[in-house]
Amino acid sequence: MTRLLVLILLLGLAHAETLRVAAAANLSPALPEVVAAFERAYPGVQVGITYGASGQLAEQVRLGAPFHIFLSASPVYVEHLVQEGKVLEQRSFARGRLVLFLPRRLGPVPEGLEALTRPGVRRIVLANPEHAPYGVAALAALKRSGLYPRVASRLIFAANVGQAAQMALQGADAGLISLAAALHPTLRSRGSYWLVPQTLHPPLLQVAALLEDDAGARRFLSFLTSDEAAAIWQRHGLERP
Amino acid sequence: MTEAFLLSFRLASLTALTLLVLGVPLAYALVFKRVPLKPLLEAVLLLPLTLPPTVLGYYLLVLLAPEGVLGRWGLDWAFTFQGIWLGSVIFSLPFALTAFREAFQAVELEVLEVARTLGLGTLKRWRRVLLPWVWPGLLSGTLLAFAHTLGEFGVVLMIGGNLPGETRVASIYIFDLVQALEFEEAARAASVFVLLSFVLVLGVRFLEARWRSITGSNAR
Amino acid sequence: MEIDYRLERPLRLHARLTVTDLTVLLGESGSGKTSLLRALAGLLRASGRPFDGLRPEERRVGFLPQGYALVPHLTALENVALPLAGREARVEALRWLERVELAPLALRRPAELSGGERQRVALARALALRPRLLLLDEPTSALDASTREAAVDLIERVVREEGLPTLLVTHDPYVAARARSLAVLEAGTVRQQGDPEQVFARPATLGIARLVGFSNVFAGRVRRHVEGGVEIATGEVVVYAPTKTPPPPDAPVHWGVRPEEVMIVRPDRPLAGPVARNRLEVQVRRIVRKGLAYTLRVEGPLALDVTLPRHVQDRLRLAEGDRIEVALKPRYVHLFSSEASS
Repeated sequence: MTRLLVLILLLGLAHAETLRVAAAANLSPALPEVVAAFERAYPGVQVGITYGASGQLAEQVRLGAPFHIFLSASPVYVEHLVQEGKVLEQRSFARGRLVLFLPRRLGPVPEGLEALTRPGVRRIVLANPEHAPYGVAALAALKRSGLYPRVASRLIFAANVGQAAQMALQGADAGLISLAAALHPTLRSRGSYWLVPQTLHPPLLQVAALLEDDAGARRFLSFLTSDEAAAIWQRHGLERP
Repeated sequence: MTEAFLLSFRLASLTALTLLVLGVPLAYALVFKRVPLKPLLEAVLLLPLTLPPTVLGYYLLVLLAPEGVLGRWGLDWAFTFQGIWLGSVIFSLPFALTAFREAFQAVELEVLEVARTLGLGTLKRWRRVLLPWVWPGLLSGTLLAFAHTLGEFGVVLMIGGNLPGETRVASIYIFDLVQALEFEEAARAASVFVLLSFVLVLGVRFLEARWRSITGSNAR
Repeated sequence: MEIDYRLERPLRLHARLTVTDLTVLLGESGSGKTSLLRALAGLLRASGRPFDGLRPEERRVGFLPQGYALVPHLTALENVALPLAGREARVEALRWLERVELAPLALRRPAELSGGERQRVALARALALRPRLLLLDEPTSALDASTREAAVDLIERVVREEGLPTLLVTHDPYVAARARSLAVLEAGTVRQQGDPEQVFARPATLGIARLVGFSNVFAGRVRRHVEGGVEIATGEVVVYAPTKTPPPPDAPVHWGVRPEEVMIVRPDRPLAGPVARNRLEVQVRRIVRKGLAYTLRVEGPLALDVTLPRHVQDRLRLAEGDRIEVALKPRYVHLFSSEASS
């Protein structure tokens, strides 16, 4: 009896032809829609997505993680992989935007980063600048606006920008997150945001890198820049590159 | 959700089974045989208890990467199910081993010795005297390893890389959901987890009670 | 059965003794009695005859350790059936349980049995093996006085009926007195073996004397040789001890008399003849009741322990402070051999 059970377990789940995509966390509201559209257009290919901070995902790729495509929220990490000879092709497909998000309980719509100095803002969450482009951008914006010294002691770091958005709602008092997350229904209903001018931070250019020479992967890569995809990106706060 | 839970179940079952096969002889040797440098060996085997899962996961990842020490020998299991299986076995080994050891320690050596004088060979001794004595403890240890693996997060995430269908187990799945702000779905998955763990802990308790009644009240 | 065994660990031992039906091995704790038994069972490394080189499974030696070692998750019947095989195993096991008068409790688990009952199950189990030698380690140490007697009765009877060479290890003098042959283990060897009466009355060494409850031991010097024995001077007392091998005059010796064998001289029955020797005037210092007997401590020229049966005390009604006269009948005076104190 136990032997039979073991056999069943070892056989495991049936493996379909899966396209493995490593995607920067800020794409999590938008990417599932794009993938759905892609799968409708090309039945027979299934896409599996793994989200994370761009830097962490790049590290995993470096260690041999079996991804076909890497979607980074910054060109920097793709560059690293290019230097290691892991990238076959790359293209930018969107541009992300950094926003300041404030939950409703802390007052009206913020009109600048000074809102971070409002009373009640004790903890400000951003993605970890060590390996998340949104973290790098947030830190840069704080420094270039001159606010950094006043808020430095109140900063907390999330593993990636997706977690930062979650913590902005649960645990922190304010967050520097992606526009895509701020537009998510859950955050929309619980707070408001202010778009940080792009002059204050390095560009959050979303770059797609092809890691394996696979027909399905190539098709996915071009799909990312198609009109259909572009419409979806825009709806979720990801602008044209 | 089903995929993630099935993956968790598969990982936990395989890990528990592996630990049963590896851990029982090991525990037996530690309790009944003279092993050179026993304290040292025991310390090494119990080490994963004190290491943060992420540290353990990281070191295993490096070893299992294609250029790693194990990877080069054909065990390039980074980001694969086999990799997280190995990680889980190492991580849950102290739990299983401790439970197995306790089960064997409750056996009075003298009874086994007298069984020898009564003419019972090794197989008969195991079948008629030893196994009926220890099986609840062994099963309890296996269930513990199962439950422990179900709840694992850090080691699996580090070694497995969160690949859906391959290494995205339920605990990581829930974490993903939270990050994607899907709080309702996350709550649903979490309650399934709690229910499962509750049932498992009940099972372990029942087995412990059964074991105690078999060995009389002298145990513990 | 002749036993000749040498051990190195956990202590050095070279034991030579003859085992008949109930042979008791007496010795102090730590003297190696249990180790010898375990060696005979094959559980401890040793060299010697018999069974040398055989594994415990092959020896057919029945071993009953102090804790009885019953398998806790098996019933009494299943325990006894362990050494048996075949379809008749259970029937035979039940027969053995009947032998030890425990058949009605056959389906109980060890946890549901008393100490004495557990021991009987273990005994039945060892007997079911039809062993060539039966070893019992301190079978009475965990039992109360009444169960102890019943247990020894049972063991003695069964062992006699089976004609089974049995070696019983104990430090209890009561059990030792019931033996067919009593051997004493001291300093790594069997120092004395013989009839219990012999060992009790004439222990070979001072150590053995202690073990067998021979408490009135004194040091002295040979004063002179007389007919049949020697006169020994101890303090101011001169005692006559019969012996066939008198030590030279002036030699230092040890002598003694058992507390049970110190006679109290009754004023209305004066003694005469050889018995009249070895008389002492003493005073009763302490009276202690031990079960149904009394132990008196008397002091005078010598301090002695005297054991009085109850009926004697009832008649004499001695109390502390009384002055009485005691006599040490020469045949009960024991002269220790010259190697005794070594």
